[in-house]
Amino acid sequence: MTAVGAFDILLCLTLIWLAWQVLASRDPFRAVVLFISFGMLMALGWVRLQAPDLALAEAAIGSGLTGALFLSALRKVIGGKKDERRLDRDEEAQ
Amino acid sequence: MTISPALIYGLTGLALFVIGLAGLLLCQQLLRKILAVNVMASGVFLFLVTIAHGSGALTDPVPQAMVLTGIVVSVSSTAAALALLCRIRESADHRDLSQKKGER
Amino acid sequence: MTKVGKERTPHNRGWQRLPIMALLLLFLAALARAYLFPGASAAGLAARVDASLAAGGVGSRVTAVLLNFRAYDTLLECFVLLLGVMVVWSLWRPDGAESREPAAGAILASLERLLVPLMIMVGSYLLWAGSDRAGGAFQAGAILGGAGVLLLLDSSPLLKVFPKRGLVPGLCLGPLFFLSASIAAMAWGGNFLEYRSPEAALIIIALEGAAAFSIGLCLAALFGGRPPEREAGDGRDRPSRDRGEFR
Repeated sequence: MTAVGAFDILLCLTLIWLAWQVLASRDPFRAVVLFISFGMLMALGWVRLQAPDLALAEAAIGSGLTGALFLSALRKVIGGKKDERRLDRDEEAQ
Repeated sequence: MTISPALIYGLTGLALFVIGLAGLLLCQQLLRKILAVNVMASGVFLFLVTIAHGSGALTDPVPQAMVLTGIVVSVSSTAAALALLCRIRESADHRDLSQKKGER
Repeated sequence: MTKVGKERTPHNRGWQRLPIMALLLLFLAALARAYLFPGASAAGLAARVDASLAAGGVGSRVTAVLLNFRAYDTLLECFVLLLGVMVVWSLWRPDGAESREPAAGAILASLERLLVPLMIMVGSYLLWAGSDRAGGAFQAGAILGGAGVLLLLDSSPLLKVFPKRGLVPGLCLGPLFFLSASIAAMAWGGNFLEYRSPEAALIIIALEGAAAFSIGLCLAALFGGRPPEREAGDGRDRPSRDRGEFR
């Protein structure tokens, strides 16, 4: 129980930290990649909560497909122009 | 009250919801706001499933099924929001260009 | 739109953030208090689901809930996916198309040759396994959608296997089959969206197959974002009109 409890606590702390980083990191690309890993860890959490159906769906949809959508949107919005990304960074840093 | 997985995951779900809400309110970029809504949704899902897990010896399948539906719905709403985001950015670019040229 | 707060200095914005942060922390504390000290504990639905599982036709509890006991959830969810595809399609602009034509790489091509058949196989397995284990229409649809995304990534020639005219009927297949099956169940004397024991398993498997196909197609269409008619040429007047709004 103690090892499992420690794993649960570690997983939850990592989830909270990742969520914070997703919203606070300056680079939008970094935020999206962190969001994908957030979804993967979420799938691990579903397994811990005895919901394997949700783990499968989260890994495939919540993390994979949403991540692909975000990355493609990111490329559409800022991908073509190289200094746009720096611009966005300035905007956040202000 | 002892520390049980239900307690840990439930509180994490609440914390994720509030973090997402903070991001929605405080972040300036639209992309970040969409990410924040997704984080909020994850928090709600985690909380629902935790309640289902903690309610007895057997897990309750009804919230799990609802969350499964919710995951798919959140993907489609995210796709719609991202399409809107791209459209907004494109039209803003167009407006910037025409303002620079002095056409407007 | 995104430049609302540009004139503020960081110091200023930090001060403005503080009350919002404090309010959110209060909100979190209230939520945690409500969770830790619940007023009245409500009994879950697990016992009721287990009691009626035998009549549901499938062994998996989640699948039984999704496709039989609370089938209206799944039905409406299919329609929400369709709605999402409609929104994405109506926002599509041909202008943006050039920027997202990726360079087809050899690695991607061989990867999809390897992975797409495997993904279709895994999807079918999940669909079949869903009747008594983890898995089901959503997971299978998600895997199929992932295969579709992989094909869309370098606009693979395999995509031409699917006829363009078949896209919209394919998207509608799941929800329409769902609707017609539930109406047929009504005609057989049951309630709307309610399947009784002997034929339930077969109906549910068929429904799941159609739903998984449509869900996968919807997810791939959400990623692709391109409506099928536009590139056929009958929407050629659309971009100029759109561009005209901002000139």
